[in-house]
Amino acid sequence: MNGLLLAVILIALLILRMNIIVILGVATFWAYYFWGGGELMNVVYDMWDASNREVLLSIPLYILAGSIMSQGSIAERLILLMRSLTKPIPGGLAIAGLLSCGVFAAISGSSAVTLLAVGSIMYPALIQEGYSRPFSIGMLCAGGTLGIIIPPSIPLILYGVMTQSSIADLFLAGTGPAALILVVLSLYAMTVNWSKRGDIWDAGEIWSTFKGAIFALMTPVVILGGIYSGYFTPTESAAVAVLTALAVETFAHKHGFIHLVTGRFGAFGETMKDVSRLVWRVVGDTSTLMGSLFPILAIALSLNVFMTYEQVPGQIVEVMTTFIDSKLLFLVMTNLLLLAVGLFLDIGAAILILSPLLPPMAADYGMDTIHFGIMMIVNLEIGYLTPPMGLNIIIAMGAFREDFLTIVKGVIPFILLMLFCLIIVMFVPSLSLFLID
Amino acid sequence: MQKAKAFLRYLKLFEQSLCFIAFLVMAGALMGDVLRREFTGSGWFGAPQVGVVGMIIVAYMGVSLASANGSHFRPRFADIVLRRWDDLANRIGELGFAVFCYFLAYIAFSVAYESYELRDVSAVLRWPIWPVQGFIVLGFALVAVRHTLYGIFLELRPLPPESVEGMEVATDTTAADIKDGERDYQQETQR
Repeated sequence: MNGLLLAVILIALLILRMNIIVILGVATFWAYYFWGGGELMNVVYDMWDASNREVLLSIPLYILAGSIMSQGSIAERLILLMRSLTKPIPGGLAIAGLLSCGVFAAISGSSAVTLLAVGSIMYPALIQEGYSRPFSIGMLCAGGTLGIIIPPSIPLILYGVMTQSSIADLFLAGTGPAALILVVLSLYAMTVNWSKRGDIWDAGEIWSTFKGAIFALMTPVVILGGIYSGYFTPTESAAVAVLTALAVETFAHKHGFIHLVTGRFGAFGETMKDVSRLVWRVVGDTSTLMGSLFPILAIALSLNVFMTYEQVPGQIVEVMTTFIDSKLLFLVMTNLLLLAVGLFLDIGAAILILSPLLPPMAADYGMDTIHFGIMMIVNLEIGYLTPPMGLNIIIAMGAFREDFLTIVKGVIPFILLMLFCLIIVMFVPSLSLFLID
Repeated sequence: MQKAKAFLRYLKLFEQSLCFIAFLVMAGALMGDVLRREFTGSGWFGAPQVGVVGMIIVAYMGVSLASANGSHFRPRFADIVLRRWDDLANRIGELGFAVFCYFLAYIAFSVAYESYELRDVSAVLRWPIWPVQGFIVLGFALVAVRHTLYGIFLELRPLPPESVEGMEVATDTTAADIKDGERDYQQETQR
């Protein structure tokens, strides 16, 4: 009876335009009050325990590093390099766009930032080179989604925190599926734009663009190389990423090093002022993002503690196994559920709500938790491209001034391709797990 | 309404300044730890815990900043049900969020007070934990005040940011700002 009443209240809260903090919070307080002995203070104690974790430190720091990098000239430098590398290949400019999205995603860790940073430069260039509007915008929207599967990725960290999986392993597991998506999208771009190709490779151009992008290319190497060589933990690597981002912007891209060496201290002071203004702005943005994500994370973890204590996931698994008797049916049902959730919910919220429930069920069907997490992220990644809440569609409408139908028409082939990749990720666990011991 | 608008501006400046300082503490502690380990061979005792304190301050003061920038996640698919009573539904949404945050701030205050009475300290640093828990109280209390004002003066609500992820610079513009701008524009054109 209490459960039914809770469901009615939650639907009423949705209709009354409450945000996710309220909806999740009411559900948590309700659970503690009616099924947890009535101790409401335990909700805040669990929120406190959830907040007081070192592993979470990496989230704001990766976001900060990504914000610092994305507001500089990195995207432009990467695109110039990728253009010089893909010039003679059919559909070369489109492939350059996809590769730029991939590399930029490895720096920023965000889908929206990748789409905006690369798309704002690539979209006009693609149109000018004769690529169709729907294809160009669909390709950039799809390329932008790579930000959440290529490490470092905030959704992967959230999944790791919620399921107590190794974040370093999740980062490694994301590389195979990300490479698959990148290859499949590039092959499609090549096939539909077979007639569009440029001149032969120019070694001088490649060298000069490589020199311009060297610091941008080094950043993911430092971050990921540091983690996998055992030199830093993922949390420390996030701090190193911030330090690297600040150093690259100040000393390399804003010429601070040259000003300092040549004794132009006035110019160096101006550079420092610029960087300080940038840091003030990005700290505001990052705090805003933390403020929107963190209470949901803390409340979801509090609910997670309650459910684990009351053995709810185990009971759900027991009930589900009586209805779903095969792993295949479970996978199909789970993916349909995730696709439906991706239509309406932000990926962060979806992971926080579903991670306590689905991975234990997957484990019961013999699936690896890391593999399941990657499948979940690839599935929810498609939600960035599906109306009505597709984030990349919304951003593309605003940033590229294109109408809704053009964008939807453009993303449909890419949604189908990503569904194809999802099926491969689902049925070939070794694609995700081949790098993990 | 102008007084409320000015109050919210100062409040945002206060919150962002606090977040800025806490961010410096957090990033500084972790980077200091890595650099010190690099140069002296041993890390900085308790640095990650100091970083966690900074993160908690950023996170809970950021809740109000997220409100100021309209960045809280809200499922919008059910908005269609009350579309005819848009203003009323928005007002209920704002005041409902405020009530929930007052309640959460009260429970968080009870927890912080209990920690104060029991003289709870953190495991690594041996610092009292109630001042840090106090930021949970402060964060939710400020959100509650902010949304109470939004519920009373709907024009003060921020416009939705350009990105749901909040990574982009959120529009710092409210409906009231737009009205002010339109009034100024009309006055200019009449002249």
